[in-house]
Amino acid sequence: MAHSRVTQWATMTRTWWIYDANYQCPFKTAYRLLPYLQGLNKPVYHSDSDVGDHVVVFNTKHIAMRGDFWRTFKHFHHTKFAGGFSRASAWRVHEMDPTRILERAVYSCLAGVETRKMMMKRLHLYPEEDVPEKILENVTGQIRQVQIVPKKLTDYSQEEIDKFPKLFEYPEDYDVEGYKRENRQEPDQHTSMKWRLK
Amino acid sequence: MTKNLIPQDFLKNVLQNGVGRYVCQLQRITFRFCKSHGASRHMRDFIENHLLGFSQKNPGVAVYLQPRRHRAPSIVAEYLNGYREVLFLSDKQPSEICKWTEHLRTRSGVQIVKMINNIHTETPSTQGIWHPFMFTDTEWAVTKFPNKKLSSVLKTGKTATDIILDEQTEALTEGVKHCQINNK
Amino acid sequence: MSASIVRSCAFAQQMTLMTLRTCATSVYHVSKRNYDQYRMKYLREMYKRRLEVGPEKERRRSEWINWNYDSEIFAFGKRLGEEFNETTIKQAFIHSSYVEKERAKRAELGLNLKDLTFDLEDNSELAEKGADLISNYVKVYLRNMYPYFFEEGICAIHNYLVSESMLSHIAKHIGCGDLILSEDFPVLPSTLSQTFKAVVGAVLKDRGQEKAETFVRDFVLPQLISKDINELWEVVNPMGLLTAVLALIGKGPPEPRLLWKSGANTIMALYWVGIYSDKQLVAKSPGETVTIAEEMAAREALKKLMKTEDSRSPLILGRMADNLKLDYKKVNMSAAEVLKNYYSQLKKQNTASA
Repeated sequence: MAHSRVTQWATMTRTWWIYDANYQCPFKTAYRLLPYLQGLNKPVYHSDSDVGDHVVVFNTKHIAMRGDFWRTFKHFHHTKFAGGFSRASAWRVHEMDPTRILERAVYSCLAGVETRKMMMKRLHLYPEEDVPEKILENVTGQIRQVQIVPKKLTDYSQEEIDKFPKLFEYPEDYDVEGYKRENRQEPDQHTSMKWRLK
Repeated sequence: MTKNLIPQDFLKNVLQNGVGRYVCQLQRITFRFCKSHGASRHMRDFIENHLLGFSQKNPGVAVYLQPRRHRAPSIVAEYLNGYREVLFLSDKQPSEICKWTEHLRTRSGVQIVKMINNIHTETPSTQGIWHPFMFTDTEWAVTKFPNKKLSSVLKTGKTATDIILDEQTEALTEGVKHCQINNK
Repeated sequence: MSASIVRSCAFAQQMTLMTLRTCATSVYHVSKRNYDQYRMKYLREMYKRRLEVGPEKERRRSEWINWNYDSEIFAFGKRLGEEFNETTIKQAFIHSSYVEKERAKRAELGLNLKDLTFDLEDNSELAEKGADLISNYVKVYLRNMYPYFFEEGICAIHNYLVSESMLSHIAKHIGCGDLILSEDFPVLPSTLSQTFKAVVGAVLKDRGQEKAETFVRDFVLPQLISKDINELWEVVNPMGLLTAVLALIGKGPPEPRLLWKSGANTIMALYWVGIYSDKQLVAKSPGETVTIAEEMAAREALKKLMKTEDSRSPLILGRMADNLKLDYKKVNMSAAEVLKNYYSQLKKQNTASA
């Protein structure tokens, strides 16, 4: 009896997974995290039984949205009172709460699942790399990222830059040091006067 | 009616019957009938023609006949686990009575309810029941999470950058060889 | 007014007549406007009184009209597939309390015991022989099926199978309950278990040892199927025993290692501990805490060494066991002895080193 108790405990246990959201698309990430939250990766899965796992996501502040989604993707909210409807662009929401975009992405992906509120409680989001020690101790596995993290120029060491073969000659009038200068484009040009930051 | 209210049960066997030897679960049958009433005529027919055959084939079942005046004909079956079943067979043909008797002989005393699962086994698994760590890499046991290797996307095929770089390195090495040959 | 009184009296009379008539079980409908109300009240009152009186008294099966003891005995033998001698099997069902009751009855009636022969013999002799056979055969069978299982474990399984509750359960489901002649009703488990042993004794007397052993194998041993035999034997210190057993085999001491863990800081924590001997994995087990997992892993290791894991082959029963040949003189190792030897050796080593 004790042996069956212990084997049942082992089969129905909740595993903890960790995921790095650095440079990842929130919507693709949400789709990737779904089976872990629902428990679809387990042969004991059933929608009635609560077999979902915990997922810890860090670096949610550094997610990457495609195209001009930062500007055009809107989050809507209604306070259920009259005149309580509001909407905000993704970048505004991200500034207010760096975990909100990913949280909402996962929530809307779980549409139609009855136990979605319970699954959302098992999703732990951290904006930066510092996850509490107690949570890190629980983790048992890592989920692979969805997109390749691009290597920025600053990530290359001077050696690698020097070693890199010269593929072509620059034209004579090309400004080689141009990337180091400040970006002089004016911010907020696309937003109406009412909503521009002061 | 909701799922919970419909009576249902798993498949049950009385005393592991059949594993050792098979024991007919029917303990005794009582055939109740009226000697004169019309409703019992088929029952009387059955008793005259078919009953002896049944009792000879099944010596392990005690057969009783109970004539009751002015009462409908019926069969009472008692099983080894104490279950008692009564069947009323007014105006039922002798062939049907035979079939019902056969039905009573072949069933166990467990009550007939909806079966949750029509298979039962004491050993559902010989290789062991699945657990989350059955097919995981044992390296994960000594890994400290988060781990960059396990996190990064697996490289499948060459990117455009890789192809260009390969071409360039090939050209360079060829050039060096060419230079070396020229120098020589 | 007088007319109305007369009319009401007549009406009352009619009603009483009708209630008298309705005392019989069938109630016909009579077309009177107030009749249904009275009928309802009457039926309610009868129901209340029936509940007050209490449930039907439990009677022995033999008290009903459709009962024939001889044919029941015959059917009992045929049902089990055994050909009994009628006198033996009838004796098997006679309990000592029944014999005493009969004696008391005859004494009451004033019959002199010396004149009349008192035929009744109770089943205690048959039960003794039957009990011996059951005990012996169960142990022999288990020792042959589980040759590496310790003697204490075999005894534990034997005690479970031969316990009063188990044998009375088997007896009840074979059909002994209705055939028993005893004073106590409802039949006590002790009476039932004794009757079962007497039945086995009767088989032994009439058909011989082999048939009696087949009987035990067909009815007693299959009760092990749904039971975990390792749980029947209580091992207080599995790790200690495991150390002794590994030393006996000639392998290194057991080393527990943590394999995997999940949710260490939560209530639903899980730890997998594996026990290694000579750097080879012997067994592993999960647990809610590290100590529990270690203990369970030690038990798993013992199971593996004794060859009684959950994945072992099933018991040989039924038709597969028709040509089964058992070694009646087989002796299994005793766990207590193994421990004693191991710790005495340790002491010697310690004293030698000191």
